[in-house]
Amino acid sequence: MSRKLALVTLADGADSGRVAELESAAALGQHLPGTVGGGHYTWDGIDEPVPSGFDDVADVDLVELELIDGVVADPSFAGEIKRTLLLRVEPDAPAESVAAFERDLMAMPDHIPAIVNWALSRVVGPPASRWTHCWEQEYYTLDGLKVDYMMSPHHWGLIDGWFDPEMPRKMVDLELAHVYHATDRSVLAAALG
Amino acid sequence: MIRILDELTVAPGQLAEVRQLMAEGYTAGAAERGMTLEHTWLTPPVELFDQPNTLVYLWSVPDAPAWWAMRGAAGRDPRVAEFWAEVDAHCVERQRRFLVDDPLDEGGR
Repeated sequence: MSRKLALVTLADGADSGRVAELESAAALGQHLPGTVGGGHYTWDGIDEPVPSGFDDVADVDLVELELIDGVVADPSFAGEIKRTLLLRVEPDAPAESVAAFERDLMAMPDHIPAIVNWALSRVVGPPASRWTHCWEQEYYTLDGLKVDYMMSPHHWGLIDGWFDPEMPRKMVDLELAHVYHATDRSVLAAALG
Repeated sequence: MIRILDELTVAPGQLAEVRQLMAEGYTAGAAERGMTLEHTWLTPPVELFDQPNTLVYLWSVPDAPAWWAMRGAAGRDPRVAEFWAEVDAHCVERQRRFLVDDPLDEGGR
């Protein structure tokens, strides 16, 4: 079973009234400062591209996700941070390296207790999507992401080698969508439940 | 302190080229990205003519934020990946490892 997620980018000069209308019509998570490469909102559970007539939206980067694995350690999670990383493994990456990369990512919660709920998915659609994987986590605090996750030696000392252009085993495209937003509910509990 | 260990296993007859590439194409940029060159080694300790030698470069950065600053700067500069591709053309293998003090080390006792 698959689910969908979209990264929404507003048009330059988008009308604030229309934006407020969109925010109230959809489950949009407004990206916080520090987000890279993913526009203005994460739209989890999107089922329609965008309500018709929303010219204030410049781009909806929609992906269809097929779960590899995930854990909902706290089904009653009530906030505060949902983080999404969309990435593209280079097409010539060996299958065994892709499998090792996926295993490494899924080991991160064992080393970083600040990760509460998590899911790793393959992007299975649309066919033209530039992404191959989606790595999502939920944290009780922003520091859980910005300090515990980012500064963990498991992250910079092991995982990042798949992303680092100075490392021989690098195989993830440098163009990423690293986005996070405040939330008062668990997207992953609903998705994996 | 985080140390960065580059091990460049150089094809026979290519040591001079790789040394020159590192000196002229990497060291200054690495310093700008916050890396301090601590030491270099050659092993085996004499240049071989029919087998590879390994050049070892030990760098350091002060801490994890400095590591990410280094990493971010390298990611934003496409010349860094191009540099390593040029080096790799002279190598049979290359590895980069990250090292920290062993938190359980008791001075070898």
